[in-house]
Amino acid sequence: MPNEHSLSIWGLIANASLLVQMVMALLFLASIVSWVMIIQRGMYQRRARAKFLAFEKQFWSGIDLNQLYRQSNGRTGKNAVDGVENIFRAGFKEFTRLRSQSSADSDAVMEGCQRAMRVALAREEEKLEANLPFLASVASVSPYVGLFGTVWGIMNSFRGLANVHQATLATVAPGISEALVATAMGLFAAIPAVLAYNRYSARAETMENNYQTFAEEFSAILHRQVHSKQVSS
Amino acid sequence: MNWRNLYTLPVIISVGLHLVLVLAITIGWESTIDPTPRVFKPNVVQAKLVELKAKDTAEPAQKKTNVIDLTKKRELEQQQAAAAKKAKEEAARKARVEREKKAKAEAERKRKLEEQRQAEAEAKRRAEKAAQEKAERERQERIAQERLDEAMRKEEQQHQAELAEAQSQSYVNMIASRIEQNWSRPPSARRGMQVELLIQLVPTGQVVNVTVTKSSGNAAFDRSAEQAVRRIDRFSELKNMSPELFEQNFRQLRLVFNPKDLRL
Repeated sequence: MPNEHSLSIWGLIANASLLVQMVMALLFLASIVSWVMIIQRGMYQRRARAKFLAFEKQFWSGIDLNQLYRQSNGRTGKNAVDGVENIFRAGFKEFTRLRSQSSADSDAVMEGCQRAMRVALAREEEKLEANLPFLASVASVSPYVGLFGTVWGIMNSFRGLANVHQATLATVAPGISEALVATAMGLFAAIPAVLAYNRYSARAETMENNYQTFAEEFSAILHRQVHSKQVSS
Repeated sequence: MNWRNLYTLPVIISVGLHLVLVLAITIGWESTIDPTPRVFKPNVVQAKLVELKAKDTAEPAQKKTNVIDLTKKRELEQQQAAAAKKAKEEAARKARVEREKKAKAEAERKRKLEEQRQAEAEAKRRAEKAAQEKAERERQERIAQERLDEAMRKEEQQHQAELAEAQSQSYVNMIASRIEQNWSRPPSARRGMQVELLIQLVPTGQVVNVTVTKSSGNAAFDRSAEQAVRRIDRFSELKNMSPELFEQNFRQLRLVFNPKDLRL
């Protein structure tokens, strides 16, 4: 039983040197945190995409823009304003404000609206891409950290071997096995992080493109409205 | 959206996922690394005497016969009796066969035991014999070795003795030549004269005393030889001789002096 115990994965981890244990703990923590990020990003991006589709449908349904604005103002709590709605709100708010000032020139109104929407768009982009740098660093660094732990462990195991006259496989194998656990953990942390980073950054980019397109379309509508008012007035 | 709402669910899911993984690894690893040793229990077969119950077969038949008339009943009874008898005989035969089998098995077992014991005894005897032979062989070898050693020792001794002899002879020759050199020939000396001298020496080569033990018949010759030894007084060559050799031959040296340059 003690022999089996020493070769189980817990035995290997418990027998490793302090540094290797620290490396393993670090990698385990990195794995947990990166999974938190992965899940959170996934949920956020899915929700953003759903909201974008729903809002776009509502927007192009021919609803009055004032009504849409009031609707989105009324939302609080879990259905709080998010994603593309923020851009719409920022642009429309600026538009109504500038329009209420009679002195405003139509070009100045359009410029103000576009600037407000650009700011909102930048905020949204930031939200979409939050935490992705962390995933990227976990993906790129944790294999190295794991490799470091392995190299250190193998180094120690060979240093212990130097004092032995007859080196059998049995004297080397446990040390190497315990050292390789670190690499395994590093890869275990890195692989999902790489996948998630690639997937989520691609998704974030498409969402940003969608937002930009929407902002352009919305500014085109506003532009039409400004000029039609100008012509009529 | 506040911070807590954003992160509680992901944290729970992630930690749960890792716990599940750790558990799975632990269990899976243990199960792959620890194949439970299979214990084979020997199948024990106990020989049992099986009694055939003749009654069981007879009883239903009897019940049936209750409603049938006497002759038939008798017939049936006879049949029953016959059947019972047959069954009994059968049972007895089976029992006998069983007993025989058992006895046979017992005999077999005994025979095997006996054989085993014999084999053991045989092995033991053989081992003893082998040990004896080995001891004998060893003793003979030892004796041969001793003989060889003794022979070698003897040879060595002889060799040593020869060597010592040769050495002492060379010393004696040297002493004789020294005496001859210091000898002044008396006019009366003739060829073939020889005198035996007893020279007493100490390890330094110093002559303590010299006497004539066997005269040549010529007093002048005897005296001249004695005189020569006394004149030399000291044989310095003897200093580097080994002490044993000196003790053996030279403390009291009997020297036959017969000079060779006697012309007359």
